[in-house]
Amino acid sequence: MSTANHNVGTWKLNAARSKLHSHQPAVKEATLVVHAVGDQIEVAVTATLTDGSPIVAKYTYPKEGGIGQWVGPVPDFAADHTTVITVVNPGEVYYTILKGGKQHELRHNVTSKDGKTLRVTVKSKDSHGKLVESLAVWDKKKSRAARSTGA
Amino acid sequence: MRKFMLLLAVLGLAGSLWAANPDVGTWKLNLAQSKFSGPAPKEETLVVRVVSGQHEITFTGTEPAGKSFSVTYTYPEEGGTVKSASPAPAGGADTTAFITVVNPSNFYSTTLKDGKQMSLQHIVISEDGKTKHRTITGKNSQGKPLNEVQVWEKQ
Repeated sequence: MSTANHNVGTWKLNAARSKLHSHQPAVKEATLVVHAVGDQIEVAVTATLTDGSPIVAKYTYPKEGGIGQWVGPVPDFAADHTTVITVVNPGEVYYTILKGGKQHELRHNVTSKDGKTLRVTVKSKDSHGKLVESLAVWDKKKSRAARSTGA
Repeated sequence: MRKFMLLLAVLGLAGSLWAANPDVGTWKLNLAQSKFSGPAPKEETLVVRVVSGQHEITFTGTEPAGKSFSVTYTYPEEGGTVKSASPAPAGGADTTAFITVVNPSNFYSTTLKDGKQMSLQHIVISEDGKTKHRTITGKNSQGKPLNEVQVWEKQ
C-alpha cells in the first residue's frame, strides 16, 4: 500500500470551519503531526484548551490498518478503549473505538483530493447517551521545501 | 396519531418498528451478478437475525467441490467485535474481526491478523432494502489477493 497519503505531514485545526460539540473539550488551537515510521503510521497530537491546559498524545497504527497503540501514557478517556483503524484507502480511514467490545465512537477521516484539507467526522454519544456528531477540519501546513519552491 | 404512538410505546413496539434493521432477513447469493477471486460456491444463503442486541449471521451453502458448509457468527448490533459461533473465524483461526457500523445500511467488516488489517468487506444495502452488495478486498488467509463483489437478494 502506498505511503504517499495517510495524511503524512503537519495539520492545524481550522476552528472556524469546524463544528465541535459542546461535550468535547473547548480547544483553542491544535496541531497534528503524522509520520510514516517503518510499517507504522505515527500520529502526535498537541493542543491547548481555552483554559490554557495542554493536551499531548501520541499513537501508532499499522499502515495497512489494524489496532491503534498509544505511545507513552494512555489518556484517561481511552483507558478502557480499543481502537480499530480501518483503511478503506490511504485517503479514507475509519477509527472504530470499542468499549467492552462494542462500537462506542466512530471517526471518519477523509483527505481532500488536493491533499490540503482533512475532515474528521465524529459520531459519539454524550453523557446522556444521545448520539452527537461533530466535524473537525484540519488544514495542511506547507512543508519548508514546498514553501521555498512556491509549491 | 398521538394515541397510536402511546399504544406502541406501551406495548414496547416503538423501538422495534422504528429501528427496523434492513439487514435482518434471509438473503440469497446471486451468482450471475457476483464476481469472485476464486471458484464460486454452487449456492449460498445468508440468514441475519437480532438476538438480545447481537446480530447473528449464518451462512449456509455448497462449496465449489460440492461439500456443504454452515458458519455462524455474532457481533453487537451497534458494531464491535465479531464472535464466531462455529466453526472458526472466516479469515482463519488466528484472525479477529470487527464490524464498523456507519449506519444500518452501510457497514464494514475488518479482519485483522497479528493486529494488522488483512481484509476488508464493505456491505451496502440498497435504499429499497432488496439488494446487498458485499465488496471484499485485501488478502485471504493464504495471502492471496481478494477482489470480490457479491450481490445478495433479499428473499
